[in-house]
Amino acid sequence: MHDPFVDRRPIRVVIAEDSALIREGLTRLIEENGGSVVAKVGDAPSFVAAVLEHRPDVSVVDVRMPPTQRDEGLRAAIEARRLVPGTPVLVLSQYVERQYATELLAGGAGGVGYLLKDRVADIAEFMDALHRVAAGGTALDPDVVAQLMVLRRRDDRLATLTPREREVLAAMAEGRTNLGIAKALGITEGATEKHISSIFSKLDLAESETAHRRVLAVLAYLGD
Amino acid sequence: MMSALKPSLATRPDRTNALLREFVLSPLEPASWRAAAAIVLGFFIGTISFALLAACFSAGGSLLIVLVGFAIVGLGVELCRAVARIELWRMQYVDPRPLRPHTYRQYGRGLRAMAEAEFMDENRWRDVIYVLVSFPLSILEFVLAVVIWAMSVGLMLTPVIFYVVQRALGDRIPAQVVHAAPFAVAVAFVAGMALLPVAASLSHGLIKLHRAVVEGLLCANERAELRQRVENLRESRSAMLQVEASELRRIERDLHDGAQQRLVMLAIDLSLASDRVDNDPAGAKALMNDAREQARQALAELRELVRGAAPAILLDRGLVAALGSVAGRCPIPTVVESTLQAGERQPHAVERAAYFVVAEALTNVAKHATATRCEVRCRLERDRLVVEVWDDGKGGAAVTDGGGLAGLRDRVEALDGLLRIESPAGGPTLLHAELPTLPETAP
Repeated sequence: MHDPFVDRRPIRVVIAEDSALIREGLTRLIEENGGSVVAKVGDAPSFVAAVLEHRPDVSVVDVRMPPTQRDEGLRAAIEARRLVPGTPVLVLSQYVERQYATELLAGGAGGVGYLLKDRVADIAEFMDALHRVAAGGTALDPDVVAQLMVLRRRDDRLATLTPREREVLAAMAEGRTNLGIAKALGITEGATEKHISSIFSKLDLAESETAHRRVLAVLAYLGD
Repeated sequence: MMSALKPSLATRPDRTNALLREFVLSPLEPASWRAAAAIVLGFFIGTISFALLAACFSAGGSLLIVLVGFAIVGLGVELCRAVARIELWRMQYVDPRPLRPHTYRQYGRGLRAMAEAEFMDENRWRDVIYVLVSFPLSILEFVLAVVIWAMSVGLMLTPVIFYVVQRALGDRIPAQVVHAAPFAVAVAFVAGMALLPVAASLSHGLIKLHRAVVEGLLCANERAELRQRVENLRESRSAMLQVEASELRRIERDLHDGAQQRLVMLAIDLSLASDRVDNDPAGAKALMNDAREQARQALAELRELVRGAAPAILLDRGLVAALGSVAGRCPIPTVVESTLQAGERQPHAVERAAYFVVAEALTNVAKHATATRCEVRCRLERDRLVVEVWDDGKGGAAVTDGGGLAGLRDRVEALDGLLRIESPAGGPTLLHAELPTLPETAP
């Protein structure tokens, strides 16, 4: 299940979540799976302060936080990445929106995740995503990807993809590596590579090595 | 009471004096002369417009059966509308206080809508009635004014006439007549002078009377408007309550049928698993996986429910972002065209209604329209927010009682807006909604 290319040393995590229940749940989950939680905060300003103080390997941030219970978490994550460039942030939310993903990824530089809160329940997947983000990769919720994959033009080149290629594209947009895609879809790594180069040529995308750059390319194509 | 009465008693002689003064000086008042001119003009307007109307109606009426008659009758109605404008001008020429003309129904698209505007518009028929009433009235006014002005001017000219007659006839006039003449001529002249303010005031009075008729028939009636407005507000308030109640009922039902049931199942699975965990760890694990699946689905259902009741992106980022989001979820390729400024916010109730109109319309399109393309348009027209949803599907959508579109109409009307749908069989369909952006001060 785990992607061997992802760094597996214990990671230091800051958690920003206003619900005490979820905060404790996340802490337990991360600590039982080889992480260490260095700070737990319940609002946006103390999250930014905690990132500045602890310089964590990755932060887990809830979108909704006091005082307005709107998108403070998202703004705080962007602010933290402005103050500490490249600090990895995994944003959790009860709902996901394409636009928020675009805003988060707009800063570039990798180390960004945006997942539905429900995904936490699948511990292996969640820890995988957390490590991927900590290592400078990307983790985008399948729900966001699905929103991106809706056909928006009649002459959409997406329509020329085979069903398998669409699956590979979706997995790629989520931020998975080639091996991750192969495992998720139950195919070989070689087959994955073939699908990917076919997708890139059909969509006129520039090929790139790192998973994060690939996500940006796919988003640029899907998100216009 | 007493204090209110006393000053009015005290000023009474002053007021009488003022009125008397006004009466005596009325011939020097330009408005009186304008009134006289307006009466003469009104005579021509009244007779000519009546003649034209009669011609249009009799010719058109006899041709109704070949349809072209409708056009001729319509021409007559439009003629009355033009007369109404001239008459408003004529009244304001005498008395410049502004008159607010009543409004007419706009011509819609299509022959039927045009005919409805032409023949079902109360205010257009009021114009016709005005022309019918104005015809005898303007003749009466003209006759009265001419008689009294002629008498006055005629009597005042008696000295001149007498002088001319005397010059012409010379000695043939009997001596007693010559003797009595200066006195008679003087009396006639004074009588003519005395009639002058009567003629001027009468002209003024007749125009005042006519103005009252114009106000009654051709002007916007504030009381009727207010009554209509109260009626509209009453309806929109009850629609608002209706919308709210059905919304709550839907949420309650969705919670009951969805998430609540799932949570019950989850609790059952968990307690079964805990019973089994010692003797049958594999079975317990399967049950726990079931429980996790129940929890996942309950979460998904709750998320959909929350999105349906209060979409977070609408609160966070406003209408345009939320429309982009809802369009992005639509399985049919949908473009959003908006001329709203990014970050420009409208009152929340307005944004919410606009959002639901679009969301519901897109759901309908996806479900029924067999469309291949869909457009969401959003713009501000003065103080109204306009949203439109267009699709190239099979058309034939209509507002039916209890249907989704009726719910939308209630929602829009609750905010004093309007919703209409153009959906000919074979498509395309256009849903158009307008919402006042200042609901509390809207006309």
